Amino acid sequence: MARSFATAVLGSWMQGEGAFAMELIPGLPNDVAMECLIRVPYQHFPAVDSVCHSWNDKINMPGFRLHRKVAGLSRRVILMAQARNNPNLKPGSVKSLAATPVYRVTLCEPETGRWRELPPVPGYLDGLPLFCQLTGVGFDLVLMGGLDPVTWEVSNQVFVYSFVSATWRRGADIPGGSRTFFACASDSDRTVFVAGGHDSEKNALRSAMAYDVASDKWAQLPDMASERDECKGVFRRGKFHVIGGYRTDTQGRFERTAEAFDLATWQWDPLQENFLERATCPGTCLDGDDDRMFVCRDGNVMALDSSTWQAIVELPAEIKCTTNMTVWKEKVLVIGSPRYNEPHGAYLLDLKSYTWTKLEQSEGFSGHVQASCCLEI
Amino acid sequence: MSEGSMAVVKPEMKSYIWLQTTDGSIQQVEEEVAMFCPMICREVLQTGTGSSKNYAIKLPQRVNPAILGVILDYCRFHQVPGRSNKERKTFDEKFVRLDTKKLCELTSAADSLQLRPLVDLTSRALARMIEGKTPEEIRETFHLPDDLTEEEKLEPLRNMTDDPRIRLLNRLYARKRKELKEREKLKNVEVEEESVDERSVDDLLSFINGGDGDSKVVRAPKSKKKNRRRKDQTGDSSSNNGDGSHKKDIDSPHSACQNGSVDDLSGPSKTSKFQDSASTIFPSKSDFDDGDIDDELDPAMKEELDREVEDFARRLNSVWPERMQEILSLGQERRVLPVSVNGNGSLERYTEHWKIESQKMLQKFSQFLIYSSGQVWTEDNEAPFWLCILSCLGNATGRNAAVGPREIWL
Repeated sequence: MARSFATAVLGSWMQGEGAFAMELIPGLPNDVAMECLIRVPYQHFPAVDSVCHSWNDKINMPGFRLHRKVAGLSRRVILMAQARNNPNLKPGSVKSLAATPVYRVTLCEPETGRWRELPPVPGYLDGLPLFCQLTGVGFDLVLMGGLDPVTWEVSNQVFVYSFVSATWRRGADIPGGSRTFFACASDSDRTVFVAGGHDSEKNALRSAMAYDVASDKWAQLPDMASERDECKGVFRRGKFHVIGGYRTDTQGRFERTAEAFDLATWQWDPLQENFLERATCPGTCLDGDDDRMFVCRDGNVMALDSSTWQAIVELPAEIKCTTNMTVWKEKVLVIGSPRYNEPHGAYLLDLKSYTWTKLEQSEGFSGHVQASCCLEI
Repeated sequence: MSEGSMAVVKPEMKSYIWLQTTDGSIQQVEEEVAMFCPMICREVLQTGTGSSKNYAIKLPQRVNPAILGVILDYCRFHQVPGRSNKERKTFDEKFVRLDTKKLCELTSAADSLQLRPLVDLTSRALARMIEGKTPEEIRETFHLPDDLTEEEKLEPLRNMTDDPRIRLLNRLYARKRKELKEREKLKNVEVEEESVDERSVDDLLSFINGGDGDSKVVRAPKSKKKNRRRKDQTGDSSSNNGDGSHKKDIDSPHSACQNGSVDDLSGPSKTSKFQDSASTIFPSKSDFDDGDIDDELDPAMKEELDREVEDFARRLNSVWPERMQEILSLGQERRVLPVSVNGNGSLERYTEHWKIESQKMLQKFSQFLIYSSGQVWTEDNEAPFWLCILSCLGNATGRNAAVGPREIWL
């Protein structure tokens, strides 16, 4: 009793010291107290964040996230920009085709099968920007770009949702004019990479940049070798890969090339011709944990082993029309629908056994998925 | 037995290890139990101590005799090899049912003895104690200082909402919080500040009205009067109840986008007569504002409301017919249910119907809230009763119940 009082008094006195390590839990050495804090489930991070100064400091340090990861306590969740089901509209009806779907960020925990909705983005209460990009960085979800759902104007706004404080904040805008349908990928640690896309005149872009979430700053990257509109970005083995896309003068004719930006040398690697082997939209291209890349094509899941693509397994009929793929542990979550504009289903592909398991979707979470990303918290 | 053996252990007797705690007291413990602790094990094997009373192993400072006893109980159970996982798990669950202070002591002692499984178990138990509590409760439980600045403190505890009714309630909370903040400011503000605000009000009004600075022009129409009455009621009742607790928890909103709009609104809202006009003047901004603080919940507010909800639930269950009367007599303009005071039969039927309805609603909402908001309401706490009353009223009156919790029980 006296001891905790003494530490409380001393603690507040030491507060002024700043750098001095404060006791996290009176009565426990700090490393033991950390063991307790890292075991708190991520849903309760906001509470931990606002208890006291020492807890607030600790939970916001990158070391906290790493500690959780190392201790095997972090959980992978999948975040999606998903359309809200309107129960009044019959899927496939004319009315539903005409209405612009309203998107919101949903969270899926494949482990527990729980689906949730995140709070709306401030200023976009009518739904998320259409065709925005989602990436997960640390404990944050970064939402970039897109078109305003009401005015259809191109937005270059960046929003960051922190799972620690459970709030949205605005990040620095994407510099350099309007940009849509760009490639977006993160190194899951600090940076989000953006490349390609098209500007307001439908010119394909070849510029690229990097966004540092912690410092809220954009940095320009050297230009790509070729312009890429509607390309796909994948972060893999320390390099930012940009795959496919088409040029300004060959609209809609997807290329098979890919480029990789090497962070170590700060340069683009030479162009990889024939990366995709066949000219398709690389929308579902994905980097697997096991260093393979995946894409959905012709009703199959293809894997890239060294340099050739091989069909590894067929897609179930329910998700033939694939919209999204995200990797989760040793599985791949594939979202799609049987045909256009039908309710979407989600399946997990086990990469070891190549078997499909259906992921149950709760009521209201079977809308079209526009973008998705994985986050480890 | 060889004569020259240095071993003290006699084969026919059980062997013991001698341990000494910081207070000087020495106790002997069965060898297999004590050796379960890596630290003791190491001491015995490396330095050979612990074999007799004179050479007792000195335990770390954090291990007092009482806590040593607890740890040894743990070791005694787990060192038996034949136990099933289920048995161990059940034992563990019961084992950590201790108060916070004891758990902390136990964790600390287990850590110094390097008993990893016990540290794991106890830190998980402590983490569970953090779960589901508001920051204030956590501070109380662990005796932590309240040293975050107002900006650093978080408002939103709830981060997932889906139901429009919850949004509505959050909006009401947000409005109430704003109101209380303004009242706070009113109390603390100096004359100079007030005059500054009035100037800004005039500016705003003249801007809106195109030079016509008459606030009366945008004076509350009938619907806004109701709005104001509701706000005043919420304000009054709140000041009657939890006095100091929520005031110090009121903090400025977090998101950068919001700061501008809140400042604008707090200016003209100095006096209640401008309050409604302000909200009509800035319809888009207040929507944005409301939407932004839509999902925030003042923790102290929530506590207070939860308390009142429990109180209400108790009262409701006991004195239903009278309570019913109160509810119905409250909003004359909203009264739709015909209740005859004389006809007890019809009244009772109505109350029965309402009871059943509300129970059903409660269940449904509990399930829903558990699902969608795990954080605020867990399986252990019931969803607030007023939530189901709200929906009952909504259903009964046949329109969306834009009724705040206050109106029900005043």
